[in-house]
Amino acid sequence: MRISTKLILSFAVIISVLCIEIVLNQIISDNAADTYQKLKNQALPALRILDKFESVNNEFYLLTSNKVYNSNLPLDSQNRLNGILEVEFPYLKTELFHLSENLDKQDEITLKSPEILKLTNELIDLGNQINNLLIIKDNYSDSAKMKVAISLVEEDISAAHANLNTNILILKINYGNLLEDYQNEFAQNLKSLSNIILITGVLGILFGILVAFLVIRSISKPIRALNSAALRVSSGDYDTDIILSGEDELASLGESFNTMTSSLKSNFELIKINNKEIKQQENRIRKVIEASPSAIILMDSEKKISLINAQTEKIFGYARHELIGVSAEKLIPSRLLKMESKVDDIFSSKNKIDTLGIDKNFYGITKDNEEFPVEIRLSFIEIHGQDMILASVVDITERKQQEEDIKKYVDQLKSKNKELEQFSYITSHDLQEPLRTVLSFIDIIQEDYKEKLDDDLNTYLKYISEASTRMSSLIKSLLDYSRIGLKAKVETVDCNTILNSVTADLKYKIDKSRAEINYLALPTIGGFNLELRLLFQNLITNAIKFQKKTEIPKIDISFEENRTHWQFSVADNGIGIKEEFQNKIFIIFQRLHNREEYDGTGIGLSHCQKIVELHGGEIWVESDAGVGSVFHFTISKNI
Amino acid sequence: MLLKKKLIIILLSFISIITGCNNTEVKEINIGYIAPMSTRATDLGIAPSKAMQLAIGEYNSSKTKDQPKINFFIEDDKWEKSLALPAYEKLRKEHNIDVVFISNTDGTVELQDKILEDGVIAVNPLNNDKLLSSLNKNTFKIAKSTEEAHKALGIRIIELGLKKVIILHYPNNFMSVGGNAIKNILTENGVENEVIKTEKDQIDFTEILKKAKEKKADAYVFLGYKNFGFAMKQARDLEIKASFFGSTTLLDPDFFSNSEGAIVGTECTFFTPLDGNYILASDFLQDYKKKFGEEPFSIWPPMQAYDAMNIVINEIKKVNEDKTKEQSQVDWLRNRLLNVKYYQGVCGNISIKEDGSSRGIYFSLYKVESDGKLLKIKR
Repeated sequence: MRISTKLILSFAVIISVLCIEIVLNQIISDNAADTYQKLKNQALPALRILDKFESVNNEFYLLTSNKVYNSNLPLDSQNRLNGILEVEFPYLKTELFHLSENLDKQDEITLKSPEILKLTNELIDLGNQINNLLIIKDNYSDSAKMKVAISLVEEDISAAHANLNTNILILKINYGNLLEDYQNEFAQNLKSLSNIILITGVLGILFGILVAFLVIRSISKPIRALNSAALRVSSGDYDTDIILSGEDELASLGESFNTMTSSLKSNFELIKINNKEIKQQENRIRKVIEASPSAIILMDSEKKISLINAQTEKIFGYARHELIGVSAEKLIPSRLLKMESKVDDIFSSKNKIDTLGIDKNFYGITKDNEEFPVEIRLSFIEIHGQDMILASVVDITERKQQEEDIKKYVDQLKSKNKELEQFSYITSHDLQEPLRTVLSFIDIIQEDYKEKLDDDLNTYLKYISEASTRMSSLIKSLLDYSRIGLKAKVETVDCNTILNSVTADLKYKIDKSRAEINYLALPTIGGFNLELRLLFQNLITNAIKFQKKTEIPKIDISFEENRTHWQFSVADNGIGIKEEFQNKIFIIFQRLHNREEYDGTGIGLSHCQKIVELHGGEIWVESDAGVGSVFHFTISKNI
Repeated sequence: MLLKKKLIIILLSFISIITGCNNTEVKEINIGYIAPMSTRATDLGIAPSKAMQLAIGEYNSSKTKDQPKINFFIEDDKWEKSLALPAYEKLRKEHNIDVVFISNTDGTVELQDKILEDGVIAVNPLNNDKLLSSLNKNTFKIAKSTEEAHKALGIRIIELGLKKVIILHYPNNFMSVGGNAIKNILTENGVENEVIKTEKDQIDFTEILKKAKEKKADAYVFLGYKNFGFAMKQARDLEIKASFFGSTTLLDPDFFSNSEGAIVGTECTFFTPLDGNYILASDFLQDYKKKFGEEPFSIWPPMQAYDAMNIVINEIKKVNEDKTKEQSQVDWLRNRLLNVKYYQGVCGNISIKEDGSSRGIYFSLYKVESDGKLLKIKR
């Protein structure tokens, strides 16, 4: 039988016992209540009225006797007598009348009340007679009045009083007995009630104990078996099985227990496999950490080191056991312990990554108190709910050394370039002077010895003059080349303004060649204004100059914006450049055509290259001979 | 749409009928009191009004939610019967009173027609004489018997062996009834007596007293109010050495001051806690003092008023449990009061008779010993 069925049956029996008790209690309580009502509504009111009647009757008799035999009756006594006659007796009559109306017709009071009322009326009448006879003291001297008064008291009042008292006494005795009967009955009811409660209570308790014993026994045995099996399972014996007989909930629980142990067993096996995989994973991670070229240091919120790798041991010169549990501040020179604030910042923000030694030199300190430059990357991580910081430390001693060497070479190079530029400038400038002298003397010779010179000599002089002029032009170009960027300042340059200005300056050439120059809105960029103007001018001039005789020149200027730089393109439909010459066009004074075909010094594109490099950019050309060329150049956004 | 409106109207009517049924419950009862609050006989007005307030206050503070609240309103009639009706009309108009208490006997007579017309119960808490008992069914007298109180004074005069008695009385019903009660007992017992009605505002009684002295009167009965204090003084000034007797009104402080002490030794009928239910009476006086800061100078008017009000309250509080819908409130209250057969009040055990008069309050004989102090007379 199922435990719940057993319990329900047990409780049903107990509830039945309680119901029987309640019914019996109710019956006896009703009897008791009935008796109590009789006590309350019949016996007690009747006795109260009878007591009061008796008391007032006696008081009346005393007062009337006193009035008759005492001429000096106090007015208080007279007032009291009046009160009895006018209030008390009438009130008692009314009360008795109402009581008798509510009682059974055969009740003693109902039977005797007419007699009592009659006697009371008689007493009231006699009392009034006495009052009317004896008003003042003189009345007491009147023997006739006194005789009547004494007669009234001693005979009539006395008799009526005694009669009334007898009737009341009989009723009081009867009602006293009735009261006692009611009280006994009431007490008996209460006793029966108490007995029933006691008996049913004892029976209920005994039955309850029996039920509890049986139920506990039927439950405790399988529970003990379950407990024993559970202990075996807890000690790792997952092959434990229990067999509980019966079909109750505990038997079902036993089956569930067996299922649970089986499930536990398979789960534990799964956990073992998982643990093995986790361990392998850990080993892999550990090896990665150990193999890291950076020193890895894991520290807690108090900066105590909990993990390091081999590289840490190597660069700081400590053995692993010397650092674990020690403050990471031990690895920093004491003068640089500002790191503390960064570490604290990371702990407070919880997701911050910060660095040390990137913007500013930072140093580690070895076990031998030797400082060395380091770069440290600090990362916040949470491991098993604990806030940690992972520091990745790189020894940058070699890199620092290389940086210093590079810096030194750059400085040397800059110095050489400066010297070269100076040399070029001075040379160009100083070369102009003798050339101007040569040209001056050629002019003088041609002017002053015009008639003495033959044709050949004139021709030679003309060659010398032209060569000198060309040399002067070359020197000027070289001077200009050396001056590029010399005194320029970076400013904001609107490329549209520059193009407008260049096309205005080249208006004659453009009109003459009927060239079409197309460009959309160009950007405003940071750069050297005059140099950029020269750059565009040279490229447009070249595009017009190196044009096919049969076609109208078409020049398209465009740009692209990139993250770090602007890229401009100047495309033409000119004669183009053969592939083999494309890498020579930016060499200074390099010419691909003779001067008769296309004039110029051959320094224009060198200027362009120098201007572009001055702007941190590059210049190159894409060209097909006979089709056209596209010159690309870039301008850095951070000059 | 029309059907909906009709349904709503029917529903609202039903609700109003249901609500109307509930409204039959009496929530408040208004009681008025017409009394001399100024000018004359104020000891019969002020202290009783306070005693009634005390009774109502006690009831209102302890009543259950089903019992009606009682409101109390006072109007001053200056002890003038002509002012009784206007005071009553005012109370009805302004407060729609259900019960009116009135001290003045003449005033009570004045209200007879109106209370019957209006369905108002009238209660005189100070006087209870045969004239009042002959009035209409709505009038109750919860007080001492005027005739009995004065008869006791007449008996006292007879027992003192006084032979020639001058009875002066104020021109109102109460004093007139009292004077006649004395006259009757004296005449029945052969004592020569003369009843003289004085003027309402008279203060010079010399001529009357001179004539009485000439007639060698050996007892002077002053049934009236404070102006008789002057009469007592004038009598002693005329070297009249006869005994003085008075009504229940002697303890007015002005009476003593007007007499300039001549009132001392005057015998009168009076009522003190000793004459009633002593314990209840003492409790009442304590409560009175606690609420109003002083005990009343003349004790019996507030004691009677307290009992009268409590008898009415004792019935009114049952209105919502006892009165049927068919009964009018005035009929119900009249029947309830007529069935009071035993009320244990501060003045004694009181019953109300079929004619609306009460029994159970009995006055005793006292003598004025000093201002405000009386001494009980032993026979």
